[in-house]
Amino acid sequence: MATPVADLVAAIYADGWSRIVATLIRFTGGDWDLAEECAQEAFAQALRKWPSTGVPDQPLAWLTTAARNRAVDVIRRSATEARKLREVAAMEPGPVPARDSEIPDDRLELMFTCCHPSLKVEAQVALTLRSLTGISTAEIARAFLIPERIMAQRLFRAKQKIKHAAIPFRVPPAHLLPERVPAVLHVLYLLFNVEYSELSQSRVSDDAIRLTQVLAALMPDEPEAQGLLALMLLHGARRAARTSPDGDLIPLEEQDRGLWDQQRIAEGEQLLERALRRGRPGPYQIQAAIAACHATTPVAAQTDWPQIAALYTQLLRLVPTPVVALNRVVAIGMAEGPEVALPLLDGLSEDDALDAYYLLPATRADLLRRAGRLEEARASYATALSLAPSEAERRYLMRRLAEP
Amino acid sequence: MKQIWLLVMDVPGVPALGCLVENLEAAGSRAHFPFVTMATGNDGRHLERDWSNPMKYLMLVCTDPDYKPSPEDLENAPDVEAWVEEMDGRGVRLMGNRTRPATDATTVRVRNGEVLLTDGPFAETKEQMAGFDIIDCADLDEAIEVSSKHPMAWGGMIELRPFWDDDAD
Repeated sequence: MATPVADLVAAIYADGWSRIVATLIRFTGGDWDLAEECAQEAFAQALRKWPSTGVPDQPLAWLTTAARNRAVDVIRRSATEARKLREVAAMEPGPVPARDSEIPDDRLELMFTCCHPSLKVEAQVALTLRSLTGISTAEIARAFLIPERIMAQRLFRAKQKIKHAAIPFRVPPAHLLPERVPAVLHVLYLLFNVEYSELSQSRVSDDAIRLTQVLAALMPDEPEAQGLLALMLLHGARRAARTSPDGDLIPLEEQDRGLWDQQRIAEGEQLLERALRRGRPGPYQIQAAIAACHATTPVAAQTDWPQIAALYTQLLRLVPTPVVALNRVVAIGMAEGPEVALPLLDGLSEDDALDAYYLLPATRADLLRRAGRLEEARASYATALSLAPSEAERRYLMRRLAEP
Repeated sequence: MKQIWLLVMDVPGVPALGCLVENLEAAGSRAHFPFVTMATGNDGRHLERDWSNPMKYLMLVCTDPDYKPSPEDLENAPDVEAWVEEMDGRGVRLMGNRTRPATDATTVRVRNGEVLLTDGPFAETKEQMAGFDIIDCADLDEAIEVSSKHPMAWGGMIELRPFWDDDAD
């Protein structure tokens, strides 16, 4: 049975882990492994000592001190060369601030370093999870459906590259932010979608929301960070309604809107409004606006499709990808009817990138069905079925195929 | 090799920065080191970087056979003389040169004590190495900035390889 102290340590871990790892990376001059080990040790000490000593007033300061003392010990023990000894001498720790609120927050530095564009995206994602949420390598491996050994190697290589290629531990200077912020947002968005697409019980998606909250709070002048957070909240609000008890996907128009989380929707809307007021729209703000259109419509039939189609047109200008183009066609089909949308779909089919993408024939099938061209619709559903990536999606298509 | 500590003082608002360099010549070049760039960074925090360990990178300057530069690329690409001048002036570029094409290369192997020679490069690739530079930078971000200003990055490509750091490993 969990003791109250263990619960409290777990609660502190959720935010404290990344705070301590970030502080220790700076303190050790970029030794990520040592930083993680010391953070781990500090929390282990807390679990051992706090039940008898009581929980300290300033737990983050206590944990940071413990982690830092551990780092000095480890380096001192391994310091044989003159250079290392010099480093230890230089490290003689000044006092850790006594109050939690005075400990510098280095998490933004940590995020930008984890998401440095000279690292492969899958390495950025893994490193962000490991160092910013503290979930174990084994759990990360499970979330991405790869063997733990491979994930451990991926993390090891990324940390080695940060060290050997001297990727700086910092928030990039202002002139680099326009290219570096999107990299961080992209990684957080990928994390958010892990659970969403795998339909697993993993908490990666909640962690992504938490990290984006941290980012949005630390970069209040970055409307795309607020926009991404709004998007996550608005999407996340529909989670409970998105799958049936047996794991089938429930399309938006058939979802029980009573299951949507109204508090999250309100929070997401508010954030989005504040972001849009800055007058610097970006892809995440526009996607959040689309999500807000859906989330604030009480009945599917009242959906403001012309507005959504217009937003997709705007999004397509910023993100000219086939998937966005396809979504735009779907919205136009709803706003102006299947006969208007079908010819637009023909233009898309010539795009090779969509060739093996099941949603293209699935969309065509839906449009044809709504246009009353049932024979052609059935053929398109069959094509979509052969390309569908998972069982849940195949079951959904089968239901559609069976409809009159 | 003689090691020298440079103490750089009086950067406004910043404590003395220690800087370990390996010989007098390098010490001279550090005098040009872009402290101004570093000191005006908007967060100020990276000033805490450990200056005892500046990073050396090899810039492998290559052609990119898969990319045909547009007229705009050719028009806008920086001038190589200006690049050399800027990077020498900043104390970033330690040395560098163009290399003759692969048709002039000789590959040397010693096998069982016997010297074996092959005409041409050891790897038959479409990309051709056109030259190299050795640069000394604060970190990878500076090395990326330096590389992206090189004319061969505009149309060709540049591979950045950090040197082994014998002190640290």
